[in-house]
Amino acid sequence: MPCLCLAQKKNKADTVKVVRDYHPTEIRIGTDVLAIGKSFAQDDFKSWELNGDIDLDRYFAALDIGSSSRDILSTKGHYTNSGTYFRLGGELNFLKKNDPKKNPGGNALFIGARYARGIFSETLQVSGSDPVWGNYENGWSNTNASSRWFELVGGLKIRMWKMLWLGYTARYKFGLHTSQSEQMLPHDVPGYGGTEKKSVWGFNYQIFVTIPVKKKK
Amino acid sequence: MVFPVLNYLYALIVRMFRKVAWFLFFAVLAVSCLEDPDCYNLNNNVVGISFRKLFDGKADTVALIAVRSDDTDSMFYTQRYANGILFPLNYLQNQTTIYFDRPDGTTQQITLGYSAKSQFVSADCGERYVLSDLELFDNTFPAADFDSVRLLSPTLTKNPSTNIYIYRCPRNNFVKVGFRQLMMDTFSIGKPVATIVNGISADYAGLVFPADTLDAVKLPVNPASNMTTFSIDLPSGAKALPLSYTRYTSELFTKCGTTNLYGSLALVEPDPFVKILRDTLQDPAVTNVIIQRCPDTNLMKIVFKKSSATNANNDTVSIKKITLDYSAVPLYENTNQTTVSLPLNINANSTTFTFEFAGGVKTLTVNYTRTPVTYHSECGVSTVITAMTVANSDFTTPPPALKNADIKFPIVTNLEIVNQ
Repeated sequence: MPCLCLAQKKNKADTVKVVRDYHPTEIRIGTDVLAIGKSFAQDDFKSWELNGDIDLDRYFAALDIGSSSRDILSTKGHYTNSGTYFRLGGELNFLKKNDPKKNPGGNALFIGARYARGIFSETLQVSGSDPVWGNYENGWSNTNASSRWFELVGGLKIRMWKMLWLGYTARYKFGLHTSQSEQMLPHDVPGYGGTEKKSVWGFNYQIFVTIPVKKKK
Repeated sequence: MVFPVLNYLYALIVRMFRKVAWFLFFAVLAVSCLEDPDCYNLNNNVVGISFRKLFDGKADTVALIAVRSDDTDSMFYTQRYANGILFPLNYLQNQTTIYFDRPDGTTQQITLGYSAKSQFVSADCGERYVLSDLELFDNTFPAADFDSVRLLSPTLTKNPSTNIYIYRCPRNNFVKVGFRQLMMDTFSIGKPVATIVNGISADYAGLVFPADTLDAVKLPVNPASNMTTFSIDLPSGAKALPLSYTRYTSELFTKCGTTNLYGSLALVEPDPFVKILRDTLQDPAVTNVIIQRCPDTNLMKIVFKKSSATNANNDTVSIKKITLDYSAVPLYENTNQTTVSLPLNINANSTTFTFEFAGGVKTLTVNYTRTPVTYHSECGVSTVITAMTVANSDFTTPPPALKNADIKFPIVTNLEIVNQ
């Protein structure tokens, strides 16, 4: 007699297909707190930056725009610099999105890349003395010089409370290329930093707010 | 009711604080990593120029009166020989002309072009200048200035290196004259000896070499004549050196065109103390002529000591004068000496020296044996002095120590005296 011994059968593993949902759920907009802090702390430096990203499942499309200016006056001379820049790129979140157990807030531990462009102007007025060539006064400028560089980024974005986020981003900047005048080499590129080295590191400390785009399932 | 709410708020604040604390930690770390640039050696405006010989490519030694440039009063490499120079380019302009003043009164020049860009460094350091794309302005210096110039590297670095080679064609009209000291042996060439020269002039060009102390000198013969007479001003008087030679031409290097060559060098008049070693003038110059002096075979060296101990230190004594029994010429007048070299009478078997000190007079009599020896025919018969003994001495405390009983050349210490 056939036995319908359902109670004695072992539970077998079941395979569930994960369906990726690339529809954005929220837009995150923030600013670099460090830049604002340095602008208040230093008389010769002003800077601001806006950071934005939009989620596409585990990925983020990111856009940053910013501006900085310097005005350094010393006994050696007077240097000014001002410009704007933007960065465009993407990020990959290593944390499972909206995992109710491991990542209920949807935090992000990410790496990514950026392509950056900028435009800036700088001037240099000097008054000096050389033991061979004597005393001199001179001035140079780079007007509407363009800049381009690449970045590898990584960082953390943590949901502190509802729409409020805090995060930091470490940036490895490289591949700088600038246009320049025949008489002056750039000293500082807004968004990139000093031009002395072929690559530089940067840090941003950001505060974000998120704007829901779609109700999460 | 109240306590659960407080517990919840406390836990919330603690969680937020932990997160913020990590951010603050990295903020401090980031700020602390800022570097201030070093203000030393900011520019790369020094060009290296090396002098070379065209025929072998090796370093050439060039005599310079000065190296200079426009727009500055600074003079570099004044009155010296150099294998190359390091020269600061004018970073306020895009070109610099460098002038080389030579001992023969001529001035050669070279003009270098480059890109000079300024760059701000910091408030403390000011600006720096970056020079690049070094180039030679061929059309600004005549071909006669330098035989050949080659741009080795257009890159200027903070630690200067050689950027330019300046070549010269062979100059074969230099005769090298060496000063030699004959010894108490039969070696006929002798050994190089540093000789005080008060100047050397040539009959066609005036002063060709300044005062110096040297064991050899390179002198230019007249390229337009088959004979040149040099006058060497020595402390003992002027010595004439008349030289004859043959001249002919050859094209050794296309770049150099026809080169003058000189051979069959000879003395116009025989001189027993001048010898021709090589009769062909070369570049680099080799010793062609040697001027010799005979050895001194009668000099006795006395060293003053502080005591008679074996390793006693030398003593410096004040001498009013030393006189010889066979000569009226006083020696070492009003000097302070640690050692004295006194000539023994070669015509007698004894010499008496009278030492005058501030505190009194002392005499010293030395007996010896004389032997005639001919070391070098040009020097004639030399008197060799051996077997010295102290016959009488006023230096009684203690008696003088005889170190070497024979006179030698170069001179050796013969007597040690304690002067009390």
